[in-house]
Amino acid sequence: MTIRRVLLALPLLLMAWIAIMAGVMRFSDAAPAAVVILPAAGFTTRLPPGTAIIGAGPFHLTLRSDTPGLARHLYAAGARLVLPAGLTGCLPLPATAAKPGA
Amino acid sequence: MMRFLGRWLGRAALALLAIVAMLLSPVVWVETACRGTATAETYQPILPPQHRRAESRTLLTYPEWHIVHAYDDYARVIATGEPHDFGFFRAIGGFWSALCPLNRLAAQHGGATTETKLTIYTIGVSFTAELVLKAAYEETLGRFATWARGAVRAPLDDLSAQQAADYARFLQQVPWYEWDFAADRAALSGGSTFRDRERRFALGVEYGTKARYAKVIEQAVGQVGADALTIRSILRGIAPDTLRGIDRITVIGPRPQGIEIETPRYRAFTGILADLAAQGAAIVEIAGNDDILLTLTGPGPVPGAAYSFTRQGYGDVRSLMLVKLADLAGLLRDLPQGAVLEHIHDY
Repeated sequence: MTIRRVLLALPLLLMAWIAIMAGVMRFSDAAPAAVVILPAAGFTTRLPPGTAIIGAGPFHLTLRSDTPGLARHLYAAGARLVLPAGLTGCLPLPATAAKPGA
Repeated sequence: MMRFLGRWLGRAALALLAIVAMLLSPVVWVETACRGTATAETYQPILPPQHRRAESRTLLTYPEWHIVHAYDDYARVIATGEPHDFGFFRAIGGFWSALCPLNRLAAQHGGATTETKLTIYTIGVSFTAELVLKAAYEETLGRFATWARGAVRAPLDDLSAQQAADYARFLQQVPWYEWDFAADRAALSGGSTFRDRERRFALGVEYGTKARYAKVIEQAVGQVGADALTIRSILRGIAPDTLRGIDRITVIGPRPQGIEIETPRYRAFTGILADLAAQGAAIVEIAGNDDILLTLTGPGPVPGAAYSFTRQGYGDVRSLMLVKLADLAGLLRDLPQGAVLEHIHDY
């Protein structure tokens, strides 16, 4: 019973983390890029001006823009869920600096 | 039927809110109970503004290193033990407990920008969520699988311990999202016992998720300008010719207060400063600052440390020390009894 409850809570924990990440993205510009999850058909035609598509997968688009409030603009353009991408702080180094001996 | 569904959806929404509140509670704690008092900076930097970096960054890079250290501790524990032997909640507590005094000290050393704080809180919440997920699995189904396996480790127990150790070593110098999680996942094909199948499932899900997430992060970060890769320092007590003979040091030139040099940042910086101290150099300034954070490991807490705690898997103690640069070389030459230099946190 306890195990079942714990395992039932796991998807909720994941959803809670996603909600917090979405909140960070919506109310700050701390992340250098945004990931739009499950973009609707034709979403790319409604992208805010100055927004670049820097990656894409079957279920997401990775976007970048220098305009403040990127997440707000993406929601206005019809995005369902916008998460931060590359909110990496100081430690994860660029590859060129990171390779031993570089 | 609709009433039943509505009741369950209501419960799920309440539980979701409770979990969000739980994940955010350490942030609220740090922001309320760990506030420091801003102190006017009296040190006059020697280096020009373009070579200065904010002093509080030496303190605020530690939380990310704490996560790297936690992966190393985990690898150490599972090298001979079980995943559920690792104190997941202790590791989470360590992150936030260390952040508290660092946040107070950061306020006295120029404070942190909102962006820096958001980044630290975001990685802290993500680290917390990841470890709670792992704990929930390893303490229940994972523990059951080890019980069903018996005392003798399965091949995938050993393989996953090796993968964890390799990953922890990799993180010392390379960003996490460059790790080949797909290769780790593919390597899990061996072993046919129940425990092997269970590890293949659990770690396969973890590696597969991380591989996909890493790809997205790499795409995003690859498009962003990199932070400075080098840092300027001023030294005295060492001849320019000696400096030119040390690998990875560029001598910029003499100044009235000493010799200006440029070196790589990050992990390499720790070794360079230790070499310089061993050669008798005194460190006058680094990137316009006169204080720096370093971590020492040893048999007990180092007196004067901002924070000390026992490392899992090692049984020794990590101490976080904020020291004046004027005292740094002397400390590196004469470490406290049994202490080992682990990392010097640049800015």
